[in-house]
Amino acid sequence: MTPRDDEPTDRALVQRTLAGDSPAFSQLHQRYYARVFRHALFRCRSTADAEDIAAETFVKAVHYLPQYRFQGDSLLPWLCRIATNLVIDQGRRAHGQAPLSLEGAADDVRALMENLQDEGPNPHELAERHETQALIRAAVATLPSDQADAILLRFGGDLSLQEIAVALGRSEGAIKSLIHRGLVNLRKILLEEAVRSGGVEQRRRASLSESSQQNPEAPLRKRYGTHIEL
Amino acid sequence: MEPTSNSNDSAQTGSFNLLSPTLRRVLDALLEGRTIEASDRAALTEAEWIELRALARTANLTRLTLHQPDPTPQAEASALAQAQKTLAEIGPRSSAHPQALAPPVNKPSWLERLRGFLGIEEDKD
Repeated sequence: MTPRDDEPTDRALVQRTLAGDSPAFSQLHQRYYARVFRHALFRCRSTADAEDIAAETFVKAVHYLPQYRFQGDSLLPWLCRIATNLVIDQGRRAHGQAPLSLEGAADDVRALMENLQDEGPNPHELAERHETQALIRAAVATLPSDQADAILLRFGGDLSLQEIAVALGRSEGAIKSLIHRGLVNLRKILLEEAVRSGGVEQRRRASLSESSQQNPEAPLRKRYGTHIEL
Repeated sequence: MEPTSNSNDSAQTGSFNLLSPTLRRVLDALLEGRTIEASDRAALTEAEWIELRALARTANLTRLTLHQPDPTPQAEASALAQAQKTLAEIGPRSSAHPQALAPPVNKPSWLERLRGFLGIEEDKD
């Protein structure tokens, strides 16, 4: 989330914006608009509502910028807080979104998570599908709110642990714990959804049986590789 | 509830509820962008490797999904125009917390803060 070394920091841009420097504000807008929009979309009924909220967030930010007090290095947590409050104030929180058929998505998501060795879905293509987005968003929304916030800020906002700690008013240790528990719960929810949709269990068994026949001596660690990123 | 068991069955059925201390340390390292300690790497059971992989894939898919969709350029341009108009109407202002806009300085460590609180001076010998 931190700007590159050759880019001005949020503090510098805020200072210039307060002095009336419009291009500096444009840079802040360009840096964060998409993230604020997605943050709002997670909590809104529709894309149109999320666009309105994102636009209003920046107008409000312009008004309240003199009162803003940096706690970390990024302006994003504050912008997300404004967006969340706007969603709540305007009663645009998503309630019972339009039903989508999520069965196929749940099946593919589990196939990816469990690394089934058949024609597994490409994670990038999977993430672009509307059904997958609805499934993941619904699963995140099921999490306890503090876990959901930590997951959203970490994986949606790309904030550092320290920035999330500042944004949520918790310690870094607590944030790590929330993300751990959030990920474990998310995985559990997604697996349960896949089991409900059926079908994938057969593929999982077939895959495990196939891999053990191919090389029964090979340790699982080799088969699954060791390069992991979070 | 027991911490992460070493059973492959539980890993494959996704029945982990709590993470073992080793897996927790490994996840901490990954979240902080650190290298996994060799001792932790060696201590992970096969079941924990499977769990770790599944959690990493969950995180990856969540990240990819939460970075979708991109806003339309029209909506972004319209939002920028609204905010710019407001900025122009309001004009230049000054921060109520000018010190908060200064580059951050390194905060004292907990030991330095404790020393300061207790009035203990650094041993200069």
